[in-house]
Amino acid sequence: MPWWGWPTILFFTTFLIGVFGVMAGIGGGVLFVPLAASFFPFHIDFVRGTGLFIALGISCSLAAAPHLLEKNLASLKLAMPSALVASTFAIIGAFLGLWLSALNPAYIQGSLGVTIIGIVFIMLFAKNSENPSVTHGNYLTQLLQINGIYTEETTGKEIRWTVHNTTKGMLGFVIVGLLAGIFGLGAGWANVAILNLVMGAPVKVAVATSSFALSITDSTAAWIYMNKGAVLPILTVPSMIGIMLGANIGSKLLPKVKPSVIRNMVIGVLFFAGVRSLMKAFGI
Amino acid sequence: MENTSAFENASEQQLYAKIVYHMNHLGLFALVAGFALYLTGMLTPHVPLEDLPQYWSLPLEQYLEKTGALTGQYLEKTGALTGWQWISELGYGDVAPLIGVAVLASIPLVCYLVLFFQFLQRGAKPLVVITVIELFFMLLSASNLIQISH
Repeated sequence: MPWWGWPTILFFTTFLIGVFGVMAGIGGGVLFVPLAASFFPFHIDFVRGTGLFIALGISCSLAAAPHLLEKNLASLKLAMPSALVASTFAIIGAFLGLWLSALNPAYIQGSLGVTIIGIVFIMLFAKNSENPSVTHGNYLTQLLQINGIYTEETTGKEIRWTVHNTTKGMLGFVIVGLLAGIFGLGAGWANVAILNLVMGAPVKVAVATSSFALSITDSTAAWIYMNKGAVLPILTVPSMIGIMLGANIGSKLLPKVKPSVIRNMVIGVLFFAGVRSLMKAFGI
Repeated sequence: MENTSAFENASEQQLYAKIVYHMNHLGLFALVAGFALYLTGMLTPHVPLEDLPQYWSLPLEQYLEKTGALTGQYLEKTGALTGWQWISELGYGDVAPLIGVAVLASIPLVCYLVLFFQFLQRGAKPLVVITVIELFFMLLSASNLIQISH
């Protein structure tokens, strides 16, 4: 195959990841890393570096953030402590990932497979709660004044919210940060579950804040990969452009499709990629 | 539940949103422009495009050793461009797109710098502390000061 063959296939693959990822409500990095690591000839070190930049650049993180912040759906006060914990551990994760990969890439490939299969089960069984009941915040919530107001567009009502279980939530972000750094996965799949199910933020606030926090978490790990030379423009640029174009089209198609069908389809692909990654680790 | 009068959004959100919006556009433009210069051959790359398939399946360390030998740029034992060396190599095709990548990765850093002064001005001490710690980690990761040995 000529040199441009695989990057071209990568561009179209990331385009499809963008289209279906947005329609399924699943971010880009979590789909990209296992697929590219399992079915493309690129080394997993470069795939992880690209995965972080995809998560950084995808419209549902950076490009969508302004819109979400202006409508008060994404909350700076909720994102800042979450992102601080996750980004700190993302740095540790990035070094851990590069170190493990230098020892033996199969360690990363195998643990990626196990992680992806675990994520599939979380996606299948974790059901979001639209407006969780938060009876009282704790000390940390009060200190940081983690609360906010937004207008629910469907009813025109003003929704006031706060969060609880802040310490448990922060422990969750430790794991999110580590996984983001080790595998280059965008962490949207886990952020929403922690913010909504553990900390009790309304689902719309959790989704919007997750996208916003993701850009902060992934940027610290992305710098590590870039400084170590693990960002190859021939992989990273077509992937970023492909996924952004795809996400743009996906968001336009969203009102016309049944998200649950697409979501199950994408989860199926993710499971397949996880199994393939695990098999690759064992040289199968 | 807290007193409802206490429910409010951080006033700095709008400013943060504006910075993200503009830097995102700038980063994407630099990314696409740099990549166009690379692909069209207007800027010569360190590693010729047709040779890339020999290298992209190698582990990072081997890739750096082999392509480092090609570029003549050596850093410690590994070889090729690492850390901030790429700044001095922007005239090469395979380095030029990194400017866009760096702009995109810098967005949270720039936003937090602005936030720091905003929070300081209105005396929001807990948020100032969070901002300072986050800035420390962002600058640490961007600085390439942390090294690991195998």
